[in-house]
Amino acid sequence: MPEPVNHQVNAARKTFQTLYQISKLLNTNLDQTTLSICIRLCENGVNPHALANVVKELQREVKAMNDGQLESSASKTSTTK
Amino acid sequence: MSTRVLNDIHNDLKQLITALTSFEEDEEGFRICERFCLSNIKHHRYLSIDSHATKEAINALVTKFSIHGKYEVAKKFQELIDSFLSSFDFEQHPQYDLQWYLLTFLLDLSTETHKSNLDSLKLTRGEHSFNAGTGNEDSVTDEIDWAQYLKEGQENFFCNYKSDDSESEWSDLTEEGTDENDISLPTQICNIQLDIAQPPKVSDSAADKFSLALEQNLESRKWFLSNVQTDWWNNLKCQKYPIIKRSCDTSICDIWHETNLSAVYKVATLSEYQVCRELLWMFYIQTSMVVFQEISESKFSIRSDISIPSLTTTAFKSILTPFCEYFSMMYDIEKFGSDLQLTYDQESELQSPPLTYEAYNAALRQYLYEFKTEVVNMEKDIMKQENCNTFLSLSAKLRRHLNIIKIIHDIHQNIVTDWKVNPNWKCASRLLSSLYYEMQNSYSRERTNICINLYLRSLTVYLNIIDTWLSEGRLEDWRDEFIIVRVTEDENNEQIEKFTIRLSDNICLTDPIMQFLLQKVQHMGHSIELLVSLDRITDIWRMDNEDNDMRISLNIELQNKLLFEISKYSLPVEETDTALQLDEIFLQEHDADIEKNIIQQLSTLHNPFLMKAMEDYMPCELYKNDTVDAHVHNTHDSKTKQDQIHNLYKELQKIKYILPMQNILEKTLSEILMLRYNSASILVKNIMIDEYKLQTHLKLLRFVYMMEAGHVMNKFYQMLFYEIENNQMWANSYFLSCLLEEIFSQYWPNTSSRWSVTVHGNISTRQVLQAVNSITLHYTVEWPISIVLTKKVLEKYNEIFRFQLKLKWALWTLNNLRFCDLEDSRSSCIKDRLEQFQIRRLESLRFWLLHAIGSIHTYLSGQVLQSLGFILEKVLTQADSLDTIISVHNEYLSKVHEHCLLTEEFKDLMTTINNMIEMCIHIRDRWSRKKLLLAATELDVMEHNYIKYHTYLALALHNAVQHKDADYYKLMPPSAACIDSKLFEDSDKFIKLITDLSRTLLTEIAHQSLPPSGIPLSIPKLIYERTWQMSSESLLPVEVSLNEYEQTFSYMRWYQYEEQFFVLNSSSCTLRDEIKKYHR
Repeated sequence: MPEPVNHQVNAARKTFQTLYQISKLLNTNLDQTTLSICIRLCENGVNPHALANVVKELQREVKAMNDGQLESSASKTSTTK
Repeated sequence: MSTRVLNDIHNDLKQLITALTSFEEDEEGFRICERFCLSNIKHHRYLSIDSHATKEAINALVTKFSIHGKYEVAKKFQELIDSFLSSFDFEQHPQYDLQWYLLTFLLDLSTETHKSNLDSLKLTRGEHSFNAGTGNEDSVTDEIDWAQYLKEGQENFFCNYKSDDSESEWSDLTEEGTDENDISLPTQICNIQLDIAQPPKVSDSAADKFSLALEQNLESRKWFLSNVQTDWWNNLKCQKYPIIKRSCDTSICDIWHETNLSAVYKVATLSEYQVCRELLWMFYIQTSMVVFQEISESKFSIRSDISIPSLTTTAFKSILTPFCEYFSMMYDIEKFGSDLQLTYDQESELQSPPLTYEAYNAALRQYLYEFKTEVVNMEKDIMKQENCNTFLSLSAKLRRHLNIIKIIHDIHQNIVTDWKVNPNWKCASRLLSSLYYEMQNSYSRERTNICINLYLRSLTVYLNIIDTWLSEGRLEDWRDEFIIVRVTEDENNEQIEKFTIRLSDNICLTDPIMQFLLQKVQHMGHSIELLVSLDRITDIWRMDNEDNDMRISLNIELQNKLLFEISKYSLPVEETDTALQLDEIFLQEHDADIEKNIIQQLSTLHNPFLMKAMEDYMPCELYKNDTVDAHVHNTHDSKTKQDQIHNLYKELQKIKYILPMQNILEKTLSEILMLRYNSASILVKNIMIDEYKLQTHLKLLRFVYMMEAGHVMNKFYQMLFYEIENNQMWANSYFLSCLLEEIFSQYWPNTSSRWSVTVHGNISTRQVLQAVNSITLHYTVEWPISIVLTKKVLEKYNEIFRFQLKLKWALWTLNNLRFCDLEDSRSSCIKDRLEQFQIRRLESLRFWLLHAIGSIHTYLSGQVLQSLGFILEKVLTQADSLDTIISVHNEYLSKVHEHCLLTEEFKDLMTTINNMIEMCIHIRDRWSRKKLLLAATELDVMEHNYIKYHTYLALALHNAVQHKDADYYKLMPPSAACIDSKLFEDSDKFIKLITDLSRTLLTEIAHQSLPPSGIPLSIPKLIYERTWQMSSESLLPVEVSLNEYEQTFSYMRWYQYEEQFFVLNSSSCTLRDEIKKYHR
C-alpha cells in the first residue's frame, strides 16, 4: 500500500483505539466490534442520540432476557435438586 | 440520504443487532429489533449535534471526575479526548462534525461514571492493543502484575491460556518503578520491548530485597523525622540536646553539673530555640509547660532540673524568672475578662457585671491582642531560624511590650473592684473616677495615653445611657450601673419620682468630669423628664429627625471632637512625618478614587439588590434612595467607632508631651452636651410659656401680690380694711374670698377663680395690722406651673403682700384723717393757744408719718418693684430653659424680699417701720379734739419716738443701701469677759467696745451719708456695758460725753432691746437727766 494510505490507516487505527479507551473509561459496555459498527453508522450520518437510544434499549432488553433466563434456570435447578 | 447509504445503514444495523443481542437473522426477536432500530433511526426527533454542547458536556465530565477525587481519571480522560480530536483529520471526512458525533454517542451511552477508574483501561484478556510503532498488529501482550510479583517475592507463575510464544521473552523483565505505579498502561510494557535501556538485573533477589529494605528504612526514618514529633517532654530525664561543637562555653551546663557534687538529679538540656518558643507560648497561654510551671493560680516558676547547654540551671532560672511576673500579670488580666460572665449568686439571682466593666475589658483585650499578635510574629521570625535568637535578643524585643503590660496591670489593680460583691453602680463609678485619677497622676506619657484610652472606652457606656436618656427620654440602665437613678419617694403621701445621685467614693467626688457630667446631665434630665411627663417627648424626636437624618451617637461625636482638639496639639510633630504622611495620603487618595469609581458604577447600574448588598461600603447619600426598607442607621458606625478609638490612641502617641486632658475633656463634653440636648430645655421652656402661659401667671402674681395693678388692689384693700374695722364677722375665709372674686372678676375674669383668701387662727381683732398677719392670699396652680410656683414661693409672695398691706393701711388711715375732725371748726369755742399748739403738733406728726411711710412706700413700689419687675421680664424672655426661669424668678423674689426688709438682717429696720406704722394707730386714736386735750404728754412721747425712728431709719437705710457690707459689730474687738449670759449668745446682739479705729471708720461712713434732715451725724462715742442696763443707777460708761444726738442714738439702741433690758423710762430726757445726775 502506498505510504500515505498506510499512514491514514494507522491514524484511523490509533483514533479507534483512543475512542475505544474513551468508551471503556465511560463504562459504555461496548466491545470493539460493536463500537466499529456504531462508528460506521455515525459515518453514514446516523444521529448519535438516536443510535445511542437504540443501543441502550437493545442492551437493556438483552439484560432483561438474560436475567429472566437465569432465574428460570436457577428455579429449575433448585426444583430438580 | 442516498439509497446506497441507506442500505449501508441497514446492513450495519443488522450487524449491530446481531452483535448486541446474538439473535440470528431469521429469529422473531431479530425482526422485532430490526423494526425497532429502523424506525428509531429513521424517524427520530433529535436535533443535529451541537459541538459546543458536547464540549461542555466533556468539560462537565472532567469536572465531575475532579470533584469525585479522581484526578488521574480526569487527566487521562482529557488526554484521550485531546488525542482523539487531534489524531485524525476529521475535516476531510465527508461526515460533518464526525468527531462530535462519535463523542456525543459515547457520552450518551456512558453509565456510572462515578465508578470510572483507570483499571478499566488495562488490556483484558483477548483484547488487542494497536501500536503504531511496532507494526506487529497481532501481538498479544498479557499484563503481568509486576508489583504484586515483586512484593510477594514469588516465583514467576504465570497462567496463560492462550498459546503465545512471544511472551516468555520478556516475562522476567522487572522494573523497579512499576511497583509504585499500578496505572501502567500497556504502552509502557510495549516500550520495554523497544530496546529502552534497562539496568541489567543481577538475579540475586535476596540481596535485592535487603538493599531495598535498607533504603526503605532510611526513607521512612527521614520522613518520620521531618513529620512526626516524639513526646520528648515526658522523658525529660533522657533529654539531652545534642551539641554540635563541644567547647567549654557550649556545654557549661553539663560540665558544671558533673563537677558539682551536690547535683543529685540529672539535668535535662533543651535547645535555646525550644525554650524561646516556649517562652513565647507562655505569653499566649499561661499554663504549665515544660520549662515553666504553674505553682498556684497566677504564679509561675521555672523547673529546676532543666537548662540549656550553655547555661547552668541557676543562670537559666535567673534569666527567665522575670518573665514569670509578666505571666502572672497577663493571667490576672485574662482572668478578669473571663470572669465577667453572668453568674448566679447564693440566692440564685442572676448577677451580671456592669457594662462599663465589659467595655473596659474590651479595651484591655485590644492591648492584649496587639501584644499577642506581636508574639506570634516574633515566633514566626524565630521559626525561620534565619537570625540569631537568644534570650537576650528576645527580651530586648519584648521589653517595650512588657512595659505596656506592666503599666496596664498596675492600673488594673488600682481601679477594679469585685463586681460580684459590690453593687454595679459603685464599681462603674469607681472605675471611671479611678481611671481619671490615674490619668491625672501618671508619671509617664505612655501611662497617660493608656489611661486616656481606657477611660474613653469605659466611658462609652455612660455616654450611651446619657445619649438615650437625653435624646429619647428613656433612662435605660439595664445593669443598674449609672450614677443617677430614679427613686420613688413618699412626699406628703404622694409618690414622687425623683432622680438622685448615688456617689459613694470620695474619689468620685474629686473627679471633675463625673461632677460635671452629673450637673449637666441632671439638669438636662429634668427637662427630659418633664417632657416625658407632659407627654411631649415625641416633639424632641421630631425635631431631631428634622435636624439630621443620620444621627451620630454621642460617643462618636465625642471622639471626633477629641481627635480634632488633640490634633491641634500635634502640629510640630507633623513636620517630621511628612514623608510617611504623603505616602499615606497617596494611598488614601488612591483608595478614595477607587471608592468613587465603585460608587459611580453602582449608582449607574440602578440595581437595588446590588446596592443593598453593598450598603456597608457606600456612603449614606446613595443609600438614601432605598425606599423599600425602613430607614436604618449605617452599620459602618461600629467599624468607624473601633477605628476612631484606635486613631485616637495613635494620635496621642504622636504627641510628645502629656496633654491637659481635663480641660480638653471638659470643654469638649460641655460643647457637645449643650449642642445636642439644649433643644430639650428650650422646648420645655417654650411649652411652659406658650401652652401653660407661665409668663401670664407670673405677671398676674405681680399685679396682685406686689400690688402693681394699683387700681384693682386699691379697691380690694380698701374694702378689706373697712370690713376688718367695721365688720365683726370679717374673719371668714369665704367672705373675704367672695370679696376678692367680686373685684377680680371685673378685671381678670379668666383667672379670678384661682384666687382665694384664708384666715388662719381664731382671729377676732379689729386691728388691721394684726389681722393682716393671719390673712393669706392663695393662688391655685396646677402642675406643671407648680414647679415654678411652689408653696414656698407663694409664701414669700404673701409676706411681701402683707407688708404692702400694712403700708397701704397706714397711708390709708393717715389719709383718711381729716383736719376738720380735729379742728372741729363747727365748734365756736375759742381754742386756747395750748390746744392750738397740740392740734398743730398732732397734725405735723401726721404729716411726718405720712412723709416717712409714704417715702418708704414710694421707694418700694416705684424703685424696687417696678424696676425689678422690668428686669425680670427682660430676663425671662432671654431664658433658655425651665431651670433658668425658676432660678431667675426665685432671685427676683428674694431681691424683692430683701428690699422689703423682710430678711433677718434688716429685722431691726422692720421693727422701726412697724413701730412707725403702729404710731398711726395712736394718732388716729387721738385724732379728735377731746381726746387730744388729754394726750399732751403722749404727744411728747410720740414726737420723740418719731424722731428716733426717723433718724435711725435714715442712717440705717442709707448705710444699708450704700454700704451694705458694712457690719458695725465686726469692727468691734471681742471682749469675751462680758459674755456669760444666754442673751448674748447671738453675736449680733453682742454689745462690745468700739475702738478708736472703728470709731474713725464709722465717722467716715456717717459723714458720707446725710439723713433727710440734713444734720450731719456723728457716731456716738458711747459704749455700753451689759451691766449698765440692769439698773439706771449703776455703772455708767467710762467715757461720758454725750451730745444730744448721741443720746438719741444710744437710746435707740436701747429701745430695741427694751424687753431684755429693764429700762424704766423710755424718754430721752430722762436718760439725759440720769446721766447728768451721774456726773454730779
